[in-house]
Parts: sequence; C-alpha cells; structure tokens
Amino acid sequence: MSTTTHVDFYNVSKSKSKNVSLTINTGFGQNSTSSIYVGSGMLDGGGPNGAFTEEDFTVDLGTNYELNGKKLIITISVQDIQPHTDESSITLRLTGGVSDYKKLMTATIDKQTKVVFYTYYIMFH
Amino acid sequence: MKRTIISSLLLFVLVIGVNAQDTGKDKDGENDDYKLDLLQAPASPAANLIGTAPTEVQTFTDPTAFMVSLQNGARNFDGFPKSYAVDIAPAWLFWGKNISYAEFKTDNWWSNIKQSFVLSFAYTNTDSVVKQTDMGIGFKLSLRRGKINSDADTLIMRSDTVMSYMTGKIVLSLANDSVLNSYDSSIRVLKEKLKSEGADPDTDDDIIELKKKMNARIAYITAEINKSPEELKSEFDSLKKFTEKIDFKRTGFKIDLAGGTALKFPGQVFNYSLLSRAGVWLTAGWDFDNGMTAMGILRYTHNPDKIYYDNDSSLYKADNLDIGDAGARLQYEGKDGKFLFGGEIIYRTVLNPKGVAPAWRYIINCDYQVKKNTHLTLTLGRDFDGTFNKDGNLIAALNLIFGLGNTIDFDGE
Repeated sequence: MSTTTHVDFYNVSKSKSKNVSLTINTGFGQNSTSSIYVGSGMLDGGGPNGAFTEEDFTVDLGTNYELNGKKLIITISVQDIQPHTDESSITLRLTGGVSDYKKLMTATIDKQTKVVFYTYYIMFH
Repeated sequence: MKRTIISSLLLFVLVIGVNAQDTGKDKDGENDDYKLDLLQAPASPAANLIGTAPTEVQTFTDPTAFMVSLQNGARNFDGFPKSYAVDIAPAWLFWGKNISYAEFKTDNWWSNIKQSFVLSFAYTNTDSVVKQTDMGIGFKLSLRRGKINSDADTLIMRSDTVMSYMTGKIVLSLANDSVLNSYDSSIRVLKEKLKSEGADPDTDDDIIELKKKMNARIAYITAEINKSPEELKSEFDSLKKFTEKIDFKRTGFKIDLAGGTALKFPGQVFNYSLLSRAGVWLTAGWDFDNGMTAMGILRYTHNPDKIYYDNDSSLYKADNLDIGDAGARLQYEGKDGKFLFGGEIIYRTVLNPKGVAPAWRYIINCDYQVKKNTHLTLTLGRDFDGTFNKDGNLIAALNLIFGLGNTIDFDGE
C-alpha cells in the first residue's frame, strides 16, 4: 500500500457570491473513489459512504468568504484495473479563488494491494 | 478365476501440433498454418512481418522503462542488440494521465483510435554466411472496440464500496488529528506574519519545513489506518479479489486496422535497402455475449521478387506479387471456455501479375477440453494448396486416436 500526499495553500477572496470549485481527474483509465472533507464536515458525493465514485468530477465547495480559514482534505483511492499499466495519476484543479490552481500527482500502484492512496490537504487562506 | 478385463476405448487427444504439418505452408513463405486465427490481424505487425516471436516483443507504459530497455538492449548505448522488437502505445506511454476510466470504457471513434493506436518496430540481424538485417515497421488500431461487459461494471461498483469505506476513514482521521491541526494553525500564523512582512511564503524555509511535516503526518496516519488488520484486512482482501476478477472483455461490433512494411539490408549496409514485404489488414465483425464470433477480413500484401506458379503450374518470377485476401470466420466458444467450434474461409486473388486464378482455403475446427492440458481436437480443411492454385481437398488434421477395446481373458491363479 502506498500513499502520495500534497499540502498547499489556496488563496481565496472575500467574495460572498463567487464559488470555489474543485475538479478531480483520474488518469491511466484507472478506477477511483474520493472522500472529501471541507470546513467542518464531509461532502456527500452520492456514492457509498458518501464518497464520489466518478473518476472525473467537479463540485462546488462554497463561496470564497465561507471557505476562508478552512481546510480541504481529499483522499482518493485508485484501484489498478488496467491490465497493461500499473501507473496512476490524479489531477486536482481549484477555480474561483484568487487564481486557478492545478496539481498533478502520479504514482505506481502497489502490485500486492492493487491500490494507491492520494491525499491533498489544502488550506484556504 | 476367470477374469475378463475389457480394455476400454481409449480416446486420446492431442492438442493440434499445427506446426508439425507442413501442408499449411504456402510457397510464398507465408505461414498459413491451420489455425483459426489466420483472419486475425497480427498482434505486433512489425514483428509479424519479419518473423520475430510475439513473446520477444516488448511493451512499455512509462517513458523511463522504455529508455531503460533501450539502454540495456543497446548495451549502455555502446551498440545495437542482435534483435529488438517493441510495441509502443503513445497515448498510454506519454499521455496516460489524460485517459479517464470513462474514456477507456467508451466506444467512440476518436477514443478508440487514440487509445488503441500502437506503433510497432522490430529488427533482427542475421550473422551467418550471408549477413543481413531485417527491419519491420507497423501500426495497429481499433476503430470500434465493442462494449465492456456488465460483469466488469458490477465488480467496479463493488470495489467502489470497499474503497469508499477506506477513504472516508482516512479523511475523517486526518480532519480530526490534533497534530495535523496544530501544524495547520502554525503554518497559517506563519504565513500571515510573512505576508505582513512582505515576504514570499512559498519560498520560506519554515513554511516548507511545516509542509514536509504535514505530508509526513498524513502518510503516517494513512499507513497506520491501513495497518489495522482487524478492520481493513478483509476490505483489502475483497478489493484485491475484485481487481483480479475484472476482465475487460469487450463484446459487440469491432473494427481493427493494421499495417506494416518490412525492409531488408543485404550485407547489413544501411544505405542500401530492399522492400521485402508490406501488408495491410482490415478486420470487422461481432463478438457476441453468448460466445459467438463472426468476423470478416480484407488483407492486402505486397511481395517484391517472388516466385509463383501460374495456372499451368509453370514457375515464374514476378517483380511485384500483390495478393488480396477476403475471408470470414464464424466461431463459438462455450461459456466455460472448454468447447470451441468454428470455421473460416478465405478467398485469395493475385492482383498482380494477372493470369493467376484465385484460390480458396477453408478450415473447420473443433476443440473440447476433456481435462486440464488434455484437448479433443478435430480440424478439417482445404488449403490454397501449392503456391496459388492447386486443386484437391485434404484433411488437414484429424487428431483423434481411438484405442479400440479388446477383451483379454485371464484364467485364475
């Protein structure tokens, strides 16, 4: 079992009307499931245990004003389902704040457990 | 005591050793053995054209592994290996991070072409009395791939349930971890301070150090959660089981296109080359859920400097021998994979030179797996025969050996 992590800031404005959006893209044709914690609770993705089961999705996190000072934690489990590759990647995008943000992470999936965990820890500031 | 032993009927079966039967080999050197996959486009067109074994073809999914293979093959770039064959899928090798599962699943034209496009390259050196290098370059792609079976989708959904339990547990643990929360508070205070001082927080050593500690803490908590055997062992076991069971067998309408060309370099002089063969394959048909397959093929091969027989069995040499094949295959494979029945028919016409009559080849094949490593196989067929036009039906293979029972009488002791 391997883990890939990333910690960073995302600058938000004082706007009470403009939303910040999160987009997740899973690469290499792999299957993934994401759990998202923002502010003080989990976002409901509509899947089992409130997870987001789509490999590519966009979700509104709240307004800039609401998010200021809060944290965003996303853990994504990527399952190795492709017969011809053990590679995986996650691209995270944040839009709607002071500027757009993009972070790509890649990892080779453990052959034993067939799964790799990605965690993004973003501090809204 | 009179004991009668009836030696039974022995029905031994040999898996067809197709290669043992030279009847299937055309005089143009093409290996048309009695296999039902003659209508299949080659897995690796370049390797196929120069006769490299498919097992020697290397494939890669990341550029680093590709470079390491090249380096090893070329003895640390000191020279070239004696033979080398590689298939590269550029979309997966270079842009794999842009391929989503949804795009992998889809059967639209552009996604199919992009994901299935394979560049094939192979070469081999012959260092015997006559030195020569053979080189093949080819491509392969699917225009239509069919749809992924519903069993795979079910297993993906079950995997999602297991994974969602894991990710939910990790996220909540991270959110409520006091150490991480204390780092979070410290780094925010520090960033605010740096901001008021007009310094750049992104390059500040203390910020970088705190981020490192937070990354380490996240990795530690994730590892600790996944180490708890009572809680997650069964989840991991289930996930692994589902992953291993997933089979992306596609059914429905399929179209594959493949092509390639082979060059030879006599004397291994690389500024002098001759075209030794070129071909293009187009296969199309249906794979049904019930195990039935109906496929058709159009194939064109260009063979320079070939010897052939005309209708009067006279031997000729053609500058360029162009052959067109059209064929069809119908096959049924039982759900458990133990029973297979099929047949294929190929019509061959010589496009150039004119004057050579077309020929037919057909084959019917039946295979039943009696037990592991034991097959009952029957193959009947008619070859193109001779180079291009030779009459006569033949039984290609009848691999049934009946050990007929007899009765042996034993008198008692």
